[in-house]
Amino acid sequence: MTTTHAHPPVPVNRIHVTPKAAAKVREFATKQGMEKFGLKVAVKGGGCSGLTYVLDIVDGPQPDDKIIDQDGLEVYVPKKAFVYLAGTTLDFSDGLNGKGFEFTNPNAKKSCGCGTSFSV
Amino acid sequence: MPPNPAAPFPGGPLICAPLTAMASQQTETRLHQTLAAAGAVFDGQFDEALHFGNPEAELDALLHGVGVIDRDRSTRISHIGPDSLDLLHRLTTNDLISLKPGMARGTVITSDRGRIVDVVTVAMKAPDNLLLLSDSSDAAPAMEFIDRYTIIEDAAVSDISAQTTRIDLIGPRATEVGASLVGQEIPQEMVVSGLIGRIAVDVVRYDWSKIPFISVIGPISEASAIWNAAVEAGAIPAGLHAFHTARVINGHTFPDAEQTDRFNPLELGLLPLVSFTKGCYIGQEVIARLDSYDKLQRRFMWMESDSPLRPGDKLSSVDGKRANVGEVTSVAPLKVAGRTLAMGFVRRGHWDWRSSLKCGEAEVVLTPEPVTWSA
Repeated sequence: MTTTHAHPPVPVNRIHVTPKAAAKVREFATKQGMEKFGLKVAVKGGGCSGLTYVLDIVDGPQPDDKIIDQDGLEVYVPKKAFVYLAGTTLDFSDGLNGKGFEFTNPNAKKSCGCGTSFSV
Repeated sequence: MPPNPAAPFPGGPLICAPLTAMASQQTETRLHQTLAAAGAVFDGQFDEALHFGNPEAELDALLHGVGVIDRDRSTRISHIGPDSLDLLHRLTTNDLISLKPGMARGTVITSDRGRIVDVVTVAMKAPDNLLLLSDSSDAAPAMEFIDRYTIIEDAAVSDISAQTTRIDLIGPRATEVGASLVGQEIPQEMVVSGLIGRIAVDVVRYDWSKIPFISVIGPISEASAIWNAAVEAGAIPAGLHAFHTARVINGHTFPDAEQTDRFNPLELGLLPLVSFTKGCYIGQEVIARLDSYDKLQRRFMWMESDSPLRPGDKLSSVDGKRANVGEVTSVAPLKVAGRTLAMGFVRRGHWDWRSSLKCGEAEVVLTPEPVTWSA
């Protein structure tokens, strides 16, 4: 996962998952045999810059999750984490030099070298 | 908690100026009456026991027997929740995730620049119940740091310093006295919960480099009872003069003197509290770079002199050509083998053991290890 800044702005009340990233999430869910699933996107403390992205394929939302429908893919974001993620785009970069899931987070003032951690 | 240079000092002249300049949120330790009854001479500023009439004997107890010290002004933090250990592991320098219930381990909270925020001992009472001990008199920096990065984690910190007391047993016989108090052995880097009489306490053992060091944490309402039990078990009441002399002899850094945002853990010699294999934490990139490329520019050393030294004194090269090549940060309040013993940092290029530096006109010798104090 890395943080980049190459995507157009996303409304601040949303998180945007690109078609490529959504397809990859569906592919992973299918491999895991999950019929009903959603993508959990969150932030936890830690990492070089203080905050670390969390991605998980889950079978449903938690009670305090904000639910965003992204072209048929449900995205679950804990309300406490949404303030750090509002307006973020999640993309997927594959290939030999691909970086996997990539975040473009307008709230991130800086991020660590490997891109999994950021600060606001 | 600086010793007061003007305080009575029957063992001879006071050697040093204030060791630290801690902010005080309390004006009186909760053991004041008990300590006064034992003959304590108090620091006028922070109302802590400087000594009990014979600081040399107190130091002798800390180095060769066992002394008991009131540490009420230190920090106790409760960190509760199933995610508490994992969170601390991700935020601080040491590998904490491998801790098991009953174990204790030191770690450093560092800023994103790798500078010290606080140094804490993490005692795992249960998988979701951690006790954090710090020498700092101010819990806020550690509390605010942990709280700031608690996002989705099921964990909560609370400052329990006001509801608890901390009484330390220090010295080679501390393990024996500690075991007699709670009726069980207290291995190094372990926390045990036990009873002193009917008083429920947590006992954490986290030794200084050469001296067993045991902290007894109990309810504040029982502070006097715990103190008295320690004394009855054979511990000698000791004050800050003996305590700070013993810690300088042991090279134990302290908040406000060395454990500040001026320094990083490697400069302070806190390598055992830093894991280079655990992965990322805040400040990790800076600390890893310092280690990998041998970029350390300052290191802490012991210093001896026949002249008085004061914290903050600047050091120059012995030929006087290079100014500010080091600085004194802590001075032992009691003379050690007849000389002033201090700790401080020295810059790269000047840190050879046994070499001399100047502090004003006084000669300061960098010593690999202090001469053991003897009465």
